[in-house]
Amino acid sequence: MKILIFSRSRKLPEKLKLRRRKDVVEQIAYVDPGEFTARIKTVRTPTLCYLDVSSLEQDKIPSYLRRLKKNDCIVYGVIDPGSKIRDVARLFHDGAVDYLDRRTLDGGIGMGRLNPILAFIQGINPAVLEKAAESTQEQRRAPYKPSGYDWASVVPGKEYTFAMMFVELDGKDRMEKSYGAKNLSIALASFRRYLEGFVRQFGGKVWMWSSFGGIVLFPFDAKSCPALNCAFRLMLFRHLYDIEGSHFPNFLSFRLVLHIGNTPYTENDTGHIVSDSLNSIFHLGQQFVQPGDFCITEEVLQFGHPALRDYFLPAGAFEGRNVLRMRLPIHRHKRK
Amino acid sequence: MKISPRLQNYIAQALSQSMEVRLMERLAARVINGYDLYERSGFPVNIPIPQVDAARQITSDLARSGNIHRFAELLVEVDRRGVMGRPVSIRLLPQIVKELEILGYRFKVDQGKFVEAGGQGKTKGWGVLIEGQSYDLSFLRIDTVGNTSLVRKYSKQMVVQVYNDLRRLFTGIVEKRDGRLWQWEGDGGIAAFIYDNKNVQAALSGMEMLLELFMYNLFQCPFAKPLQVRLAVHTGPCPFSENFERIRSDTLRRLEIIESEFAENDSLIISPGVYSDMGNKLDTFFRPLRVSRHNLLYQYKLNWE
Repeated sequence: MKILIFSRSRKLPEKLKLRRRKDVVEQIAYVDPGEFTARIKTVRTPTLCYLDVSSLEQDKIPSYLRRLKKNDCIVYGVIDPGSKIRDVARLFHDGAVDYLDRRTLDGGIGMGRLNPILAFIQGINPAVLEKAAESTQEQRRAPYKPSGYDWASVVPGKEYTFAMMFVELDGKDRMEKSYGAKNLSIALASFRRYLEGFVRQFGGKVWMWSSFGGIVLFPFDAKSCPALNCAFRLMLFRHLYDIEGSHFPNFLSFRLVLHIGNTPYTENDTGHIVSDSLNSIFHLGQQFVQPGDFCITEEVLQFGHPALRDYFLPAGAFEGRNVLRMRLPIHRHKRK
Repeated sequence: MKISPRLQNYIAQALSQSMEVRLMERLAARVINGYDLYERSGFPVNIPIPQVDAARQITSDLARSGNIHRFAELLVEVDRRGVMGRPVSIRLLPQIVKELEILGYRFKVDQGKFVEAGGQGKTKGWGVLIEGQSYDLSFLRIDTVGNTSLVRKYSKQMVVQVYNDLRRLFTGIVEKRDGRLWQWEGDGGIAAFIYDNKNVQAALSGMEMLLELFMYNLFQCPFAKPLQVRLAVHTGPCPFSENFERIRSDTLRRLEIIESEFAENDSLIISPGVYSDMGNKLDTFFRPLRVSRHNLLYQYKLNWE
């Protein structure tokens, strides 16, 4: 089953603490209520929708709930931190399966709440659960086109699934102003060399590059994702590069994104590649990720080493994908 | 220290073909204190020593005193910068450098020194330290937290495997920065650093060790709980000996006190003399720790958001 949450609250993901679970929850997405109508129309697989009514006008709430009820694939719950719903029991009479008020949210809910909800759905609408099980099976047969354990079987011109890493230095404008063009190009070239050496140890290859950043591709075999380990280490050890290897006088800050997606692979002429995954990762890196952060899309965590899961927190949704942010290591005692 | 007859021959030829006897003697005196060529060669002081004889005598004395490498470094410097503003071109210098490379050394241009190239031939004294002589060194000490309880709780095989991993990690990190492992005793050891920036190299090695251990605990450590260590860096004079047990040094004693009494678990602690060399980037990683009314130490620790 999928979980779709319509809310404008940025704090909600932290409070809900929902995570994907292979057997129960295949996807969790946070969507702005402004996209409600368009998004509801596209729901074709069993989905548990939560509607955060705090940003909705009181008289519009029944209309939203009716549209949720209309879609056979949807079961729904209501998030009501402002106590806008006067008759909560009525919600359940009309088919809702959950209700979260401020006190419940403040206590945190987590995955433990899902089991009783699923049991409740079993009682009132078992067909949704059956469809959900079928859908999960289909999801497991997802259309990955694994590029393999290494580059041996990757043929230019064909489409493959890769682990893609977006990397871009922060403070481009400031750097262009502060350093001379020659110094900057030397420092940028040295950063690129460092990155190339670092990702090579994990089978990665810098694929696209334009001065301040680019895209690294890692072969993906649909069994594991060593690229996550690579990016995690890059974040953890980066200050050692700052001190021992960097040509920049200041501490470097960069944004990283890791995503698993499909793209045609070419060795040259990468400027003409058409790939939804590639577009998404660029948008995510340039519009969503904060300076100095490392974000991943949800699928990455599924294939990454389980020990790394505790180091990622929900960070909201972007273009329909759930995004998680790495908790940052704190090494430095004072900022300079 | 490794030397070969061919290396000695090249140096003797280089001296005799590149400079006068007075300059040879002055250069020799820079690496052997109070060097007196007449006294060493037995020539009467009123008779000029032929260049070839002088060069052979000096080379032989350098080899005997274990200073051939330092002298080769000096020849490189003289060739580049001259002496007292006068250019001096050293003949056969490429052959001398090549011969040293064959013997397992490489020339570090930034430091102007020959260091062991690595691989199997690494020695505790970098191939240049002389037994019994005192040097200014930096030391990094690592110790496992709760060794006794680990040994009781886990099988011998598992503990040995983990400690071998710890040693492998530590040695790799230290040798990457031209440090040398001087001692290892089961669950911990001591590494030494001598070259330029020795304090920075020792501190960075300690920091990297904490990070590598964090990754090791995430992915590899077979123990139920993470393996924890304490690390400390201190600098000062210390006599060199291939046999660590023979070394008596206040610097090493102080290092042990700093580590065992003041280092927290999973932290690196450095003494003020080390901290003063950290520079304005690296010092931001260290937090002052008042250990007595007049004494400060500095601590690095990895924390998470």
